[in-house]
Amino acid sequence: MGKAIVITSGKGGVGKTTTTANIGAGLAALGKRVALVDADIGLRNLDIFMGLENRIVYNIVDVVTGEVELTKALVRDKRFEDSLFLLPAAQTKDKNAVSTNQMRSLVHQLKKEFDFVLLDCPAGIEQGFQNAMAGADEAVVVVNPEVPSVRDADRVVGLLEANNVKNNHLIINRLRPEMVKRGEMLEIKDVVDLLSIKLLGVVPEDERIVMSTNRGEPTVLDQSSRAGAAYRDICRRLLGEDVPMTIHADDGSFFHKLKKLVGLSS
Amino acid sequence: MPQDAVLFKGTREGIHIFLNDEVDFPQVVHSLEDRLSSRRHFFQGARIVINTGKRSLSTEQVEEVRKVLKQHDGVQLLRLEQTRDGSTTQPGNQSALVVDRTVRSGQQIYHQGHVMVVGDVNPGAEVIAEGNIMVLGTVRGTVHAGYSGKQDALVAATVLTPTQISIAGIRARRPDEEGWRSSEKSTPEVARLRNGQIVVEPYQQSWL
Repeated sequence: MGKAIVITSGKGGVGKTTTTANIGAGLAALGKRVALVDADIGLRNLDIFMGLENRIVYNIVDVVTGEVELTKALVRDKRFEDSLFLLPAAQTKDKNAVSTNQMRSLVHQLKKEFDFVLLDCPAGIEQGFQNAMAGADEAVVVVNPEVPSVRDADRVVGLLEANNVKNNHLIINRLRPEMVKRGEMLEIKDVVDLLSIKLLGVVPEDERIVMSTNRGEPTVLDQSSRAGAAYRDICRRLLGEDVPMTIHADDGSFFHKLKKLVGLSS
Repeated sequence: MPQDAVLFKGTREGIHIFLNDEVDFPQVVHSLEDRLSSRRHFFQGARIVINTGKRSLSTEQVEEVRKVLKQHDGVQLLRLEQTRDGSTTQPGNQSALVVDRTVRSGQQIYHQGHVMVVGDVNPGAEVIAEGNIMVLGTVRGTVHAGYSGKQDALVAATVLTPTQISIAGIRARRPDEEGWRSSEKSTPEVARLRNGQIVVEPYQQSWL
């Protein structure tokens, strides 16, 4: 039986879908069988991040209404032989097209076939969020080092815990080392202190993300990208490997300081 | 014959209002409103003690009662109390509630006695106690101690940097200049009322 992980944040635009795409591709590259589920019904995006948009025939709503078999709706990512699949969202329906119970049984079905089921959660804490967390065993909470994002993430962690999703991980995304240095951004330590959940990784701001999103090539596959390197570390940590917490920034002197702050420096 | 939903009694202290615990709460609130409105002048400036009988009120219910009282000029709620097994207790003196997790944004804890949090109280979270609030962690959110007027209630925390704090209805808020940065404070502190103002001081064992 595989593991279902919901990728969530509360606030929009912090990088949930980017994270889902990169962790998915990263885990597949490490030889795991992964299913990506786009739970953002009505605002379908994950397919674009994966470069699979023009191969969608059926979607999640077709599956839960029984119109097609689950296996038929799954879009295979050819870059990874037989290990990465996407279940796209419906673009013409809304969040209420799938019920919480339908979602739960769908995720259960996927967990039998895959090592990881990654659920890309919509922003907000309404029905779409409730659905996305329904079948999840654990959560990856994505935050930007900004006060509103951290506040929303805290709300979401509370809701997750209240719904018995208790093993939660934190990814601090779009960190700008120069800004932290100038004291204009929350520090990693502040964010981790407040949310008090396990830090899974820190992803630096990287212009290449925009390019890789437009092209549909997850940056985790780009060996020269610093965000990609951070995602590769994150995937290995998800598999239980003990990867030292380094910040992949250009400025070498800086990540040592960060390491010290997170208390991981030796 | 149906029982009265509310009963008024004058005492030296003021007016005791007994809320019948065998009548549905919405009906109790309704008759309270009726009775107060029908003799508006009589109750002007009255000092009131509300006794809820055996019933423990939820936060929402306490709010409802307060809302009714607020509509009447000068009515002053001295305290809420309960009668159990023939003896009267102020909710603030009841047993403590232990919350062994971080109270997060959007979560609200209400208890008729003391509240002890083993964890943090994050911004956007609210802890309301009729008695004291003790936090073994950092308070960044909102805390109300002695909610129904218990003047000697206190708030103690390992790190006390609340967004807002109130004791017996007297409020204070974090100075704006402290802003969004996390605090460097490291001494445990206690907040209590002194001459009608909230005073925060370093925790000293001799006080408790």
